[in-house]
Amino acid sequence: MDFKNNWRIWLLVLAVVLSLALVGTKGLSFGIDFSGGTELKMELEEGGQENIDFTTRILKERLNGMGLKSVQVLPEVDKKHITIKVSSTDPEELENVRTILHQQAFFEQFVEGELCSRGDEIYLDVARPGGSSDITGSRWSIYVKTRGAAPQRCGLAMKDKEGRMTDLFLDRPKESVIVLSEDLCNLLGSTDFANNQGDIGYTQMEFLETRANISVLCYNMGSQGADEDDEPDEEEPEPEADPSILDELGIVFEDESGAANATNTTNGTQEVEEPDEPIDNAEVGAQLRALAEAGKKGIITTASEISLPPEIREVIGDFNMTVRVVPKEPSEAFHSIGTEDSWIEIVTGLKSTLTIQEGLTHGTPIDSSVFTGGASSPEEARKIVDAYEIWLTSGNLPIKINIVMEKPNLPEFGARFLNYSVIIGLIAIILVGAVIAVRYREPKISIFIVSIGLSELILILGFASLVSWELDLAAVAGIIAAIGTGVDHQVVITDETLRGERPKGEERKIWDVKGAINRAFFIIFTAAATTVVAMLPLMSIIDLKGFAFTTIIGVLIGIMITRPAYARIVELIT
Amino acid sequence: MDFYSKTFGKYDYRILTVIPLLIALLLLPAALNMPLGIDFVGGTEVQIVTQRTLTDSQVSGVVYSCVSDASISLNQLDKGSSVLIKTKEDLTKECLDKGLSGIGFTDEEIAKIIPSTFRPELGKILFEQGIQVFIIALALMAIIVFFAFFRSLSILVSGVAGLAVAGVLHILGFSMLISGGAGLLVLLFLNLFMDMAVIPSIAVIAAALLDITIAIGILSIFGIELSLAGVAALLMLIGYSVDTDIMLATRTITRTNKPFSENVNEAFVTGITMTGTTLAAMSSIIVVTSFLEMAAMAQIAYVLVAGLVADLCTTWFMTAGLLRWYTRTKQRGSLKFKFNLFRD
Repeated sequence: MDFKNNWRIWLLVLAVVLSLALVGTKGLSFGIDFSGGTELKMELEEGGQENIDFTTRILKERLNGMGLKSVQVLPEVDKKHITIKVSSTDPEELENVRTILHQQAFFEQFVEGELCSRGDEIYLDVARPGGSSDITGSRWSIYVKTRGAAPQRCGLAMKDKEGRMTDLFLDRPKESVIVLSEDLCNLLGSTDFANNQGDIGYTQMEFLETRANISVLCYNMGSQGADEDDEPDEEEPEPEADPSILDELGIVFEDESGAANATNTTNGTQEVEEPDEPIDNAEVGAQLRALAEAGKKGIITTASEISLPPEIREVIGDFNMTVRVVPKEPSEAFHSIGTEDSWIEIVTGLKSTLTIQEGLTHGTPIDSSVFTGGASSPEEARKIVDAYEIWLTSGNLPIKINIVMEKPNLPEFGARFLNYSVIIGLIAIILVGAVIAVRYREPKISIFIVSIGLSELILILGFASLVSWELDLAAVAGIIAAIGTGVDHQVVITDETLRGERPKGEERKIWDVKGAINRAFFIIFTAAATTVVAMLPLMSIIDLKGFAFTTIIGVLIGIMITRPAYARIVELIT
Repeated sequence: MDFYSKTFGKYDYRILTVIPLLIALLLLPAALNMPLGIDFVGGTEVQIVTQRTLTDSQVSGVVYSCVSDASISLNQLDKGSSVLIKTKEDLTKECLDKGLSGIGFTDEEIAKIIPSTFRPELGKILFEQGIQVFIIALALMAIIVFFAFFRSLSILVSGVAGLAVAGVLHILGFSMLISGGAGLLVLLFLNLFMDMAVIPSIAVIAAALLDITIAIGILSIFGIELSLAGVAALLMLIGYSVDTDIMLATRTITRTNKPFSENVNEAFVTGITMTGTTLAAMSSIIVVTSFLEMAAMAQIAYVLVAGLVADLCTTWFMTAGLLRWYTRTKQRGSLKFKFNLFRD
């Protein structure tokens, strides 16, 4: 075929091949309608753009921290509701989601285990000229103020601690006890903890017990010995003094994890503490019982409850303690610098560790301070600032939120919906093909119309795969709408150019195919434009967004790729 | 191919023109009383998938001990059954749990069953949102169609005049609706007295409006409840409706070398093919969904089938009639107060 004149057809062929390759390699992602999942609707007690943006960001942050496969947090246009889609229908997991959604995050700032300020005492200094945050190049600063007992407490906690560490926690599990096997305890006890380059002098075990203030119990695993492969992280100190950040207040916390991250090296040496005598699990059980009596309500461990020794399980049962399992792969380090999802960070809620700078350490009350640090790029710095704003304000979330709807979509139903959608598609192709065949009595035309319709389906799926668009029932409806319109428009093109049966021979001579196609395209463009504009407002309804989007994409693919190709095909076969 | 003129040519086209309008008026009360589904009025939906083989009487026993009215769809799987319950009443988990344990469900199985509750007030918000979206979509569609047939300067002149009237009335303190309506009337009448260039656009827009009204009316009479998917389907219907009308208008207006009736005959064949393919696709949905509860899909198919049947009537009676009137008066040049200043 002549390439220059038939480039439209080749473009279509190329697009179809690319789409097939995309769908074949990258695959399609299906929404919770098909794959199963739960849709929750949250209502803010008080709506508004700022409130909903903020709440959305916080909920996203918190749900992503849960480790679910897929989480979508979608603010609605009424600025009062948020739709959340999670890929789970498991009652226990859902209970966790509900807890996360209901509970307000609790921020705490500790200085070597001593409380400095809590979320309700610390707030962003929004009254500061220039705002509560500042990004210069890749350096970022957050300006905060404290109130209540916090200034006094922070002053005392930081007295004479220049260069030492202050830790920021979100939802530190203060009512839980960490229960670990002896091997893991030994590992924690022999690995240094370092969350930024100035952070020295603590093992990971010491961090948990003294800086995060969480009790750790170690139990005897019996004869089973775990072969732990450990790669403790330790970084070379690389002092990076930037005097300019010691601002006018002289009250600065410096975060160096960003800078230290780059020079992070692993240290293979491992010091194994020999236990003096075997741990008696009965004693551990008694300790846990004492802690439970003192008010601890849950335990955190790495393996399922079943694998715990019976002495501990008994206490859990007696006090109805919650068991939170945070698994840890043997090859994974408990803590690695600069990450947010290493084991220690997930368990303790540690968000950041900063160095206490001079000026804070005189023992006098501290009512305003600056968190500052470096990032790898200005964009990174922006992300850090956003995260800090969430941590510092989520404890005092101004708006109460309630779950107003919860709709589980069982995967069993979803799988059948998908199967039936495919069956519907196949039957539709046959029936539409039959109508076309009866109308034109010309196999060539019928085959082209149906195969162009199919190519449109492939292109839409290819596009969905490309942009990782989640296909849901609404999207399937959109595909039907787009292909339906597509077939209609091919009928228009066919009839404009062939005009059904055209018996008069003389008319053929004066018949201008190009003019006919132009007229067909006027009809098609007007109809496509109306469909697109009719769909646009629908994008504002979350449940129908998928429908509107797929229809618009389908119609656009139609007028840009498939229809021109079909018009050329018709020109060639006339 | 002169099926159209052979069949309908013997009737006065003016009578044919008003038939769709009369049908729509007749169905308007039913359309306004359209029953709404649980997305809009609130209610409870429960999905159950179980290894047990349930019977109709077991399920309905459980459901009707809690609520008085519900739709139940029970499917037998290779291993066990699946149930989908929908009710506009509040089906509480407590009551459902009690009923299920009565037919032998274990606590563990029951824990997995979570009824989803749709709150009426949320449904109301969604419905209002749906109406809003729908009106905006219609307005945008009307604007596109209006300018698609922008063949004459008269449209611009009458449009500006209408806008001016609406603006002045609004400033004088009349409501948006009244001043907008008055502006629209000014636009229409002014344009009719000039050269009627606005008629094709009006015909296309009116056809879409009537299709929607008739479709909702038909569904209402059949007692099919409108759900959120129905709103999507009605917007799809706008697209399909406009397709045939624009095709007909373009054929009859631009092919002036041919008699009107021949143009309509040819357009009719094309239009029937277009509508026929869509009806064929929709019937495949209806067939499949009769085996499995797929409420959203079924709803779309019902709305489109009703709407496309309505569209056959509006396009080939009303739009065709208006266009015949338009082309005739244009050719004869016989409108009384017409002045030719803006004719092209």
